[in-house]
Amino acid sequence: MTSTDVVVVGAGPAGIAAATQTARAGASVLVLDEYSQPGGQYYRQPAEGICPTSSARIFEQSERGHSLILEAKQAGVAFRCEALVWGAFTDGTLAVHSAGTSEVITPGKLILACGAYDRSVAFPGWTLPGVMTAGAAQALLKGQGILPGRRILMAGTGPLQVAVAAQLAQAGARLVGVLEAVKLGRLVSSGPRFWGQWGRLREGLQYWRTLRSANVPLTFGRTVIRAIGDGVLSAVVTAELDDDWSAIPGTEAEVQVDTLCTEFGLVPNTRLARLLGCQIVYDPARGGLVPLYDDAMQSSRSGVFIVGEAAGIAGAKAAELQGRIAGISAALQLGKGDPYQCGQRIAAAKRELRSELRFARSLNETFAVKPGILKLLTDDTIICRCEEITAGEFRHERPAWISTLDAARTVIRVGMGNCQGCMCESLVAQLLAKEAGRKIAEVGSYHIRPPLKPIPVGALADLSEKLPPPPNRMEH
Amino acid sequence: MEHEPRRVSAFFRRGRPVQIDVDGEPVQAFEGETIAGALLASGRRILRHTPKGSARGVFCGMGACFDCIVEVDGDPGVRSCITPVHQGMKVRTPKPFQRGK
Amino acid sequence: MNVDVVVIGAGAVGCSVAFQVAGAGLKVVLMDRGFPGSGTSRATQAGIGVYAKKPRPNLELNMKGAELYPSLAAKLDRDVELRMDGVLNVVLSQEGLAKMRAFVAKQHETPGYKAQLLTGDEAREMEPQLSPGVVGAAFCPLDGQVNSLKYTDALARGVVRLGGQVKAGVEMTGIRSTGRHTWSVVTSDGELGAEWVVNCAGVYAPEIGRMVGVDIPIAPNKGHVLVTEAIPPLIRRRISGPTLIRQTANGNMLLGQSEELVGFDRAESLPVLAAQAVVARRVLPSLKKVKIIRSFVGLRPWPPDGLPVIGEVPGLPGFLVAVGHSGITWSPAVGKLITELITGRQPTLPLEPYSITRFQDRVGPATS
Repeated sequence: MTSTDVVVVGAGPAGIAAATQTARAGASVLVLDEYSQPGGQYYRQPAEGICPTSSARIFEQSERGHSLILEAKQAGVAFRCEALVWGAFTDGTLAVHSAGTSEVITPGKLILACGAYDRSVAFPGWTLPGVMTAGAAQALLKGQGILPGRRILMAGTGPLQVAVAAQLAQAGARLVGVLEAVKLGRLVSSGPRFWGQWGRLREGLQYWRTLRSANVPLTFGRTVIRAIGDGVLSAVVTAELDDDWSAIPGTEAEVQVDTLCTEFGLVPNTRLARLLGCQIVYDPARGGLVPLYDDAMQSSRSGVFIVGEAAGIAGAKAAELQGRIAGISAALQLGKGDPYQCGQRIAAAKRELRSELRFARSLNETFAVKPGILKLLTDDTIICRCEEITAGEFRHERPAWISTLDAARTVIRVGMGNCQGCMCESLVAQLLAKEAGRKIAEVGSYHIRPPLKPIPVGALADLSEKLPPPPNRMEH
Repeated sequence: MEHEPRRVSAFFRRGRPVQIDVDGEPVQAFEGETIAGALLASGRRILRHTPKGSARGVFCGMGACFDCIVEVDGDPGVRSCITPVHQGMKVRTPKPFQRGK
Repeated sequence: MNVDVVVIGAGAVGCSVAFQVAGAGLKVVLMDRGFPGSGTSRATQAGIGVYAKKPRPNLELNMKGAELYPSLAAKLDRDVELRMDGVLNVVLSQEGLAKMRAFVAKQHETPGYKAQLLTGDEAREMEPQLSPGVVGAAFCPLDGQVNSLKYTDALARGVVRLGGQVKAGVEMTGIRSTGRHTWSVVTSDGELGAEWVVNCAGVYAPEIGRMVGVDIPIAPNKGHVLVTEAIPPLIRRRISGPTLIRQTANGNMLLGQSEELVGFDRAESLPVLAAQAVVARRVLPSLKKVKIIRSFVGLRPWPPDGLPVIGEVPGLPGFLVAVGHSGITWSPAVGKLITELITGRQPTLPLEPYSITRFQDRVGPATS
């Protein structure tokens, strides 16, 4: 059993910032990450053995990430990669799976920086090979220098897909277009909300210019309504959308592609937080289900902090600032660090954080997925990818008592597969709310149980040797 | 198999070449690539078939969706999108199966 | 509003009671603080277990439940994955083998019981994946398995189809006697009058019992189960003995049988989960590489003497109780028995052994 002052789960911007501050305050800190290298999505590092040969803008984030990771290591932060935190128990222990074996770690304080995943928007054919998220395309490009396909269409909403499109274009990918679901008129009228964000507008313009010079058209008010192919993707049907994101009949167009990258926003990864019993609320302007936290980024469970996208979708800068606040706060709780200096640093971070959160809120609201998109679901459209459950199974003969995610999961089996609801939770919540005539906040969430991700029976069995014996089975 | 159009030659220098075995066929890859990346780069989009027989490939690319799972060196359920290749790796892609009797 | 019967608790037991009572033409309301099946019935391996049941009245009740399963399932409008394909109870030691032989011999004293003793090799012929460490087994053809989630859901839908009402998300706040054999059931959704009230609230049965001044000695018995990914068929029928193993129709393996009397604590215990993995791997070595995707914890309604509590509470005419362990197994029988009680017919099984009166000193007066 390993014991350390602070354990940080997730080595993205928030986790790195938190760990660095904790280490500087004099506490021992271990960062656990599932991937083979630290950096998360935002600071994704090129894989070992693959070298960037220039300082192209594609690598800006990777380079910054690299120096931050180095700084963290120099401050004394220990990184353990390919380490999966799969369980958290009432005695304060964490179960971690790494290199084929499981072990138990007991942190003094815990900082969750688990990031987010892409929101699932379903449409007929979305499970065809060739349909992937923009995040997947970006991971392939930045991490391995591999393009996702030969003829690529991007569809979705928000600035993230524009950034990914620009990076793909720079790398020589053949992009047939980028479709933004929100109409240009609406974006323009939202303009005043982003007043003062000159750096970001500049960045956005640069991406747009990159696309222009690569002859990649950016189309507004349009999105994918159907993916077509015989076993694999071969074409996409798109249509114009109204303000509610319902497809406008008569505006369909078909385009031949082998790859469709979708990006409809991010969903905070709150699974470990929920397993720990941290309170959550539904806040669509922060990405959906988010944890409650106080000024120090501490959750409703004492000693457990939650930062970064896992605390609400707000971007890398906010993640870093939140990480700093939690890292310092966790150390202070352990009696480490100079209270005055730490207080000053926290206050400075909070000031910057306020405007970051305001901007993030505006962004999320402007590019929020609208309910009209649910009309794309036919009875045959899959809504739970793992268990292959269709919208039809959901809709028809649904009794009145299946009006919560818990009930839906128990009876209809959505969320019962390998991913345990990661991908379908937000989609099923939207669909159930619509079908049952309830608000999304009322349908609840999936009940989280360990393991958070699959582990082999053998590994769990082997772990028993490192644990106290369980109470004897009762004789009767 | 067209390798180069999927691998970016500008900006990246590849590591050592690595050969893996996918369903009995040799696939050329490079050190540092993930299984899914290497397969995509070799023009192969299908990573497995679900129990009901639907083809699946990379979807989330970050180890969250489990659509990309393959069997690696005898271990099932390995997420190919986050698992780096190594020389001689044996990959088997899951096939449909009849659930229940 | 006035109905004939209010059933409190929409688990396997309550749903079976409500369905069969509705089938007899009575007006029923079935209520639950969650949704049908959201309690213990969804946190069980859902074996239909006869083989190991004791004492004798318990065995008889479970045998009757198993016997009635096919005809009850036939009345439902959807497949509940019922398979009456027996259980293979395995032992891993010579000592265990001797104990099993003696146990099976004793069980055969009850008419209708059958279990066949097998060698380790014979057991492996039935289930090739069993470990070479299995030295012997007993095969009981009376057992089976069902999808308890679908079963309760189908029964509840059946209640509606038969003209009854299902009220989900309803909290009980009180039960009052309003006359001889009439009751007022007070809930968060209003008041309901009924001639009969059936307490099928499982681990919450004592809470309901207290509303009428009755002490029902049921305690929660906590069990952990591991759920694996869906895999091609590995075993054909349930396996019991050092642990419980079942493969669902979807292909998932359910592993584990743990017991602890720790109140309403539903938190997972890592040592217990790990211990379940150890013994499952010992019985089926090929489970080693199969991935666990989920675990769950269920609270069994555990009586102090191994017998369920079934029947009317003396002094409270019209107030019936149906609670205990293995509700999944005996739910078809208890649904029938309660219906017989209510409609004044001869019960299929004598009810005296299950009566609450065996806890003489605990039965209190009715409140009004």
